[in-house]
Amino acid sequence: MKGIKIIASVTFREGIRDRIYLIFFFFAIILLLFSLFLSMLVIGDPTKVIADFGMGVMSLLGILIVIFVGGPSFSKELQKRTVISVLSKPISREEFLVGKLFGIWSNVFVNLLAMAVLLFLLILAKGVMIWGIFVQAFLLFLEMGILTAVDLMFSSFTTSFLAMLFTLSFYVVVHLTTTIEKASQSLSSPISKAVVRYIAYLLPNFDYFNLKNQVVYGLNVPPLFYCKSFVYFLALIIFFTILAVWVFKKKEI
Amino acid sequence: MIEVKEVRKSFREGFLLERKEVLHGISFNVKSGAVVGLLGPNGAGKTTTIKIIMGISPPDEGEVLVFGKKLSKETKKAIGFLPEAPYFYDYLTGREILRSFSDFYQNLNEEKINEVLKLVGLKEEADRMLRSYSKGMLQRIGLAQALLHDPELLIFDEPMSGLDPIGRKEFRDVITSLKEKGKTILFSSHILQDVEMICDEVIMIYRGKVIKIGVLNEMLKNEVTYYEVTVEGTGGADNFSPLKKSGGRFLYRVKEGELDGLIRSVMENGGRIRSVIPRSLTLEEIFIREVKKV
Repeated sequence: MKGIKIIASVTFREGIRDRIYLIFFFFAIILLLFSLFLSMLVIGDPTKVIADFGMGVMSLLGILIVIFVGGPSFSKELQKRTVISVLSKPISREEFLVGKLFGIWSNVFVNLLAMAVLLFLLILAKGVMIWGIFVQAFLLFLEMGILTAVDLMFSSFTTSFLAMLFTLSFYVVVHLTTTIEKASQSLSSPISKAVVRYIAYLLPNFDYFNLKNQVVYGLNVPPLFYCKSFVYFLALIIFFTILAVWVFKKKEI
Repeated sequence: MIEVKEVRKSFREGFLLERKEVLHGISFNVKSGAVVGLLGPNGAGKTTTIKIIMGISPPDEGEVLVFGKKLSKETKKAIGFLPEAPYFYDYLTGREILRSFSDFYQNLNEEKINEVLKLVGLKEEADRMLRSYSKGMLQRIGLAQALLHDPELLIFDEPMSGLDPIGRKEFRDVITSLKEKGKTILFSSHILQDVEMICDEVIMIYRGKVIKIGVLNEMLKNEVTYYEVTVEGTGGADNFSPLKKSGGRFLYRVKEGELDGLIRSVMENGGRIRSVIPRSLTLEEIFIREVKKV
């Protein structure tokens, strides 16, 4: 556990001082402020526009941090052989990888929390309180944890660029699972319908972490949804972390 | 202290991922308190051997024991390791990296960190981010993290490759002082002069095989190839031609079997022997000779 804590702390500090991280952070603030301007141009409730756009920005920034800050920091350690110095210490490969996961995830947490607070305040300035923003930020946080594990798995066996590409593709695909499932119903051939449906079942479904519409329109969410989301998150993060550890342990450093 | 037994290692290479063996069953021991040089040209298998000893890379076959046991977290606590061309975290300072690494061990305080920073000559630069460090400074911070917990065993992989002549001298001094403290040191190098200056024993590796192991002094002593004899006050020795003449002095270079004849001849001609110096092969010459045998 000590090793995990040390690596997580080093990764967090390294990430938060990274120029790209800071650029993304300021970029996010500018985009959130831009939502104020956008709300004036669109017909409808301005707070809904700000909330909708703001949560989109949060998702975008989360994925950017995982892909452009987290993954490359791990690839760089492998490429520049920092990992050799670290693994000569009393730490196992498993602890090292899990430490990296927590470190990167903490970077995402800080970013999401800051953005959620800013978004909440922007909407509050319009006289409306949407606490659901924090719920959505938390679900995004869970989603980014899974994505970090996936990114670490890809970074363990391929180049930094390919790992970015694979993680991004994974992100796009898992957000299309419901669409793929729906699309299968319109297929005429029973075989293709079954195959597409089977694929949709096999793919992780990140809609479990998406409450944007419910938050924007103030819809009620059954408590069971949160339980399902959390169990789903646990299952996926454990699965992908074990996979990442397995790949990393096989890697010749 | 270190026992390497019949270690084999291969890597997959090329498009077809064919296995290429890089270590062909190497075996050697490192005794407690010794400074041992692992010698070999680039690609000989030095770094792979060290990675296997450190548990970073698993061997295909064979066994490595450190302190008589298989490597574990506990045994790692008594080892300090400096990899080749060390590289750490860009956005952390030298002091921060040492503080973080000190958490792996017990009872390491700020005083110890300052002591190590002073030893490696980085006290002034300790609060600068590592991304602004030169190659030599990174090598020094690498050495600092290896020495931080005062380990019994130190393993250095090409420790002097990134250093300038002053840095190399300082590094040699550090190794000498560690040796005086009774530490065991294993280090790899292809710079034979450095090895010759600081090692007690050498292990020569070539193409993944150990080609020679020995105590350095004995190795050099046993390898006397000729004698340099300085003679004074005579026209020289019969049947021997001097290498140099200067004033009334003559310098002869003879093989062991010719030495008695030369001395006798000088005495008969009324000359005086000023010195007889046995000249041995340098480590480099021994190394090249061993490589040619393979």
